[in-house]
Amino acid sequence: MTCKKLRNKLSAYLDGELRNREKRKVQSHLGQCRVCREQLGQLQKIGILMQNLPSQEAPADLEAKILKRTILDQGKSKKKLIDVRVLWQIFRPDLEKVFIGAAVLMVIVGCCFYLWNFSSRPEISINYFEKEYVHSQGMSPFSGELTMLISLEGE
Amino acid sequence: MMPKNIFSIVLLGFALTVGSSGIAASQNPQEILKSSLKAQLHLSWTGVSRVEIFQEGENVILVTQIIHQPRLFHFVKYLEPPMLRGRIIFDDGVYARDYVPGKNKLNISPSFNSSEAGKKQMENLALLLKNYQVSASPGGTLLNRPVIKISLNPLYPGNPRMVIWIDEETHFPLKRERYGAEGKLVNVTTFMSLEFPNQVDPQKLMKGLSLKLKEKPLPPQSLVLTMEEVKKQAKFNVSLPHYLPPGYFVREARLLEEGKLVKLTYTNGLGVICLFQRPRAHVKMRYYSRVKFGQMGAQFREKGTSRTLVWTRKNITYVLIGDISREELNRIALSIE
Repeated sequence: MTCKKLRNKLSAYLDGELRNREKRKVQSHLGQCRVCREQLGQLQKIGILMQNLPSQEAPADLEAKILKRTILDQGKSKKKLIDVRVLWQIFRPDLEKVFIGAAVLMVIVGCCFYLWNFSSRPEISINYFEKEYVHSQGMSPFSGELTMLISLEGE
Repeated sequence: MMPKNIFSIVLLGFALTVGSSGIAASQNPQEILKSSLKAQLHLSWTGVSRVEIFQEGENVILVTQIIHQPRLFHFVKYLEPPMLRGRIIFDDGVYARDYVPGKNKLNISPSFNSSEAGKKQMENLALLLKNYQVSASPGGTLLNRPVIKISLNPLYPGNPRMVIWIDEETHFPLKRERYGAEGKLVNVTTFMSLEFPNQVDPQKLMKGLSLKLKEKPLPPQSLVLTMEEVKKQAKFNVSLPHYLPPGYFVREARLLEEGKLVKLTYTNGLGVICLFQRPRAHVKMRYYSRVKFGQMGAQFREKGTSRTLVWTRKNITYVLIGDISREELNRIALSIE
């Protein structure tokens, strides 16, 4: 057993709280180590001094005060925890719903806009304009016959 | 038998009259052009035409049999390419009926050979002669016929040009080369065979046509109006360009789709610019690039001789098509208010 380990156990040794095996180890180390023996001696002296101190009466309401304070503190911390948890419990599912709702709404609005945009914008093939153009080219001298042939060439 | 022979003699006589009047004026290239246009419209002829269209990627060759009977019909039958073989265009001077036998599909458009179309061609020739320098030179022979080569060069750069080889005898155009605004050869039309007058019995031809081609279509869904009338009758505010390339004039203002679409046509005699406008629409188009002119975003594409610009501004969709340079196209688009 090292000195450090022994010093941690000295208080328990003095109070008779160690098991036999540990007690023997401590005694064996104390038999060999002078420094630890001195440490033990000091602790014994402190213990004697504490026992000899005159006792003083505690105020009558001290216990009540301590109890009250403890309960209040416990209550406060509990309340805070409850508030946060309750709020989280209340709002978390709603936020999710809000986000999902907003996303669905955006998709619906997007689809509506797309459909509106397309229904209000008729689709016309460029062929239509090109055929009209080619037909106008037929007004040019010496291109009427060629125009007729090219007008058939679709996209 | 007798009436048919008389008919042929009359046609031949008419052909020779037109031809001889052209020969008399052959010294003046402008007169040759006028005579050539008349010959095209008024001669009775049949021939096989070959059109080669030069385009990026793959050139297209169209071979067609054509029978032209003035004031009666203009008949075109596709011989090449194989995918178009058998397709027929029958123009009776009122409608051009385009029939695809395999698909049993009939497309109808206003006639290319009506007297009105001929009149417009004559008017445009007058405009062309103002905007183009016309020069004539001997062109050798085509189909064993001596020809005159007429070159039409624009007075203002950035416009298409044309070279025409005209039969010295009849003044019929036997070959044409068209060059785009950038000077690139766009197409060549050559006659592989030609006969005056045509040897086809019009009644026999009419009998042989599919019933589909004889259907009487509905009247054309468009109205030719003055610019003021178009502005009044259109179902939206019509905008006009403040800039036009030099030499171009408004030729036609047309209202289509019951007033929802306006088509304005400008020409310098040879080149044509069309400006379409209508309430906001989605113009479906492939093979285009996104471009910007001024602050506006637009779709742009080149196809054959033409360049197209499509854009939407203040809920109006514009389609501008022209055989002019891209710079000129942008300039017109920017000037539209």
